[in-house]
Amino acid sequence: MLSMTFKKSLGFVAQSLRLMVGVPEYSAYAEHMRYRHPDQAIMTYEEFLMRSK
Amino acid sequence: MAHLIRKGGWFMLALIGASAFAVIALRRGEPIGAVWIVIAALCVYTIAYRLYSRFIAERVLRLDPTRVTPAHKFNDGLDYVPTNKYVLFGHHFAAIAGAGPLVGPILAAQMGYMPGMLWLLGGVVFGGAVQDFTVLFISTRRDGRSLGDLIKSELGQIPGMIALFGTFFIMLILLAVLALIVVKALAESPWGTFTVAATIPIALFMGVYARYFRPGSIGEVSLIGFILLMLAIVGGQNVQDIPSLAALFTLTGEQLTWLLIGYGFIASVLPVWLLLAPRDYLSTFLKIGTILGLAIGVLFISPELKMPAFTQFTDGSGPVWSGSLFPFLFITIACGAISGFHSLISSGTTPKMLAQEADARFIGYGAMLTESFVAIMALVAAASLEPGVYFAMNSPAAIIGTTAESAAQTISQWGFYVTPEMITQTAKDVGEHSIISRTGGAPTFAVGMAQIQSDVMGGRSLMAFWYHFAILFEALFILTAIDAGTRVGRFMLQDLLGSFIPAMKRIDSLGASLIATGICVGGWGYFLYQGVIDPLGGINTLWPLFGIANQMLAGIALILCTCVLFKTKRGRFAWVTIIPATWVIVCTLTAAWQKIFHANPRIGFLAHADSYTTAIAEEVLLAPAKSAAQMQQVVFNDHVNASLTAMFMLVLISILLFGIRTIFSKEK
Repeated sequence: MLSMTFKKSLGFVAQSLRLMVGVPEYSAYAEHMRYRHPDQAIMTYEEFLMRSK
Repeated sequence: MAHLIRKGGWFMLALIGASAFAVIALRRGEPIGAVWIVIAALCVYTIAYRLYSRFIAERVLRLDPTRVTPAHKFNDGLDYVPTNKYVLFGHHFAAIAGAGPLVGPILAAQMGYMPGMLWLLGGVVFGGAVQDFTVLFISTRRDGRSLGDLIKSELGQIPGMIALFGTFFIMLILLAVLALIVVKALAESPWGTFTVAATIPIALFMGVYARYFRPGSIGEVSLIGFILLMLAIVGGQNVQDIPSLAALFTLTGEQLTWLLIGYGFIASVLPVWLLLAPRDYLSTFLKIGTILGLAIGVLFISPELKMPAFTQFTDGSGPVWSGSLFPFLFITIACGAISGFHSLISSGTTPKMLAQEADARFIGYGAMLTESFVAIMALVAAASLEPGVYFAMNSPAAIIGTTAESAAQTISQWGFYVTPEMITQTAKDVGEHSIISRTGGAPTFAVGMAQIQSDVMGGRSLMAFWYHFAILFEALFILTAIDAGTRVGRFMLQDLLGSFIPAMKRIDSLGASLIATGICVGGWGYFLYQGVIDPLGGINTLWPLFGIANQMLAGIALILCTCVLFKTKRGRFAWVTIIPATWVIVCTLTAAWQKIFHANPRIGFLAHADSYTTAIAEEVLLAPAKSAAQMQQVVFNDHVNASLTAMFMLVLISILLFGIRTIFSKEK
């Protein structure tokens, strides 16, 4: 329980740091694609990074 | 009961704030601890956030938490992503907090710490934070559109074009000033120059590493980069000690200028992943680290403020920049009180990521309060220096001469105690040959921070390290801004020119982008060069121009906000944006008018040009000109500056008129 909260807040810190340097959140993208566009191919993390630059 | 406790808590907070102000106000003539200023500022921010921002959120803008934001409406997982409130706050803050809040308050300290502090607090509560918040709200309600687009759709096509045109020139001046700060900090300093030069290969290495060896490992690559940076700082000392290497990295201001211009051109046409992105990682993490370090230092050490609350220079005769308190203080401190550039961020990436409308208050208003706090700490760093040392660092050589003896003598006559030994000792402590006339704010901030940090840990032996750490931090940050800014300027120019020459609009065309980049770099390079050879140090001329430009952009953004308030039946509360709009418009127009027409050649461009024209007629050479041709050049530069200032005034006045027209045509 405690470790879950810890993990979650660590995730927020990591996301904050990435966003500060202009790298969008991959997990949000992947989740969005799975829910909204299950028929389309999801970019890999590497492809996602290349695209965001 | 709970209600009573809550009310009582706010009452206590107000009481604490009032007592802190009382301490500051009553301890005249003897130094006070910085902690009182910090407490007073924090109380003002908390009360303003709780009461005023809530009033704006609930009564004026009427934020609706149930309304669908662009992040949900256009969610694509890429640009439009609903983002956690605190995460987005970090993103927004990192984007708005630049070099500005660290430089402006340091320059303003020549009038004492009080004028700067009061403007930072008053300006942010009623101006800057209101602007950031309202623009964010408006952009969110209009699908996350940019400031230029908003002006086009709310005020009309022509004002939109005028605003874009004005913004382009504002950008050029901003880049020139930033580059000038780097030149002033690195000239004749082999240690600093080596460290900053080393960041280029480090960033290139990081870029290649993160793309080909370990794609996406941003944390890892940033850590490697950080270690290499620290080695570069330490290595800089060795470079300085080896005469042949030191000679290689000892560059004059003019040499640095040409290097920066060349660098700006190459860096802004290279792919983003190679240089810009990896350096951006480093500068962002260093920035957050420096701000946290400074906050800890100021809170724990509570350095004494040695600068008086007011100096005699409130009358406008100051050596750092000329002009009286009104209007020039209000354009010298922009970021931290109110800054037009934030309106570009508030209508940029942030509105596309807002998870719900109610978050706009915390992110828009809150992040700006935080930036103001950074500016307060920069003010503390400057005011905690011995005033004599502060003036030795920030006065141009034309006034205090180039030796420690002449500087100490002139500054002592102003009534600030300083000996030549104090000046040379400070230079020795921070590992520099000289600290005289290191204008531009960055070195002063670095010495202030080095003193505070070395009190926290390391003592005097680490002072040189901390000094170069702070210089590196500012330079790194500014280099990123220069190449990102040149890119933005290039797109703006292509967009503008594209309206007349369609071929220029093609962003993928190499020819069009090289031409546009060349014009951009040439534009800021011209103002930079002019600033570097200026005998009064350049900052004297360029910083007010930058301040005027930046505050005018704030004026434009606030005019837009006012129009939208009227158009959306919120006219009853439009005073919320009309008051700050009026203030920045009055300040910038007065300052611009004085910059052009003031009879004092240190303030007015035309008076300065006249003094040179007279000298040419009498065949006398005025420093720094060494020939009649250079004298002509100075006169020409003055006329360029005067025309640019006049153009800024025209842009602002025309947007104001278009705004008034919009409001009245809606009222009918």
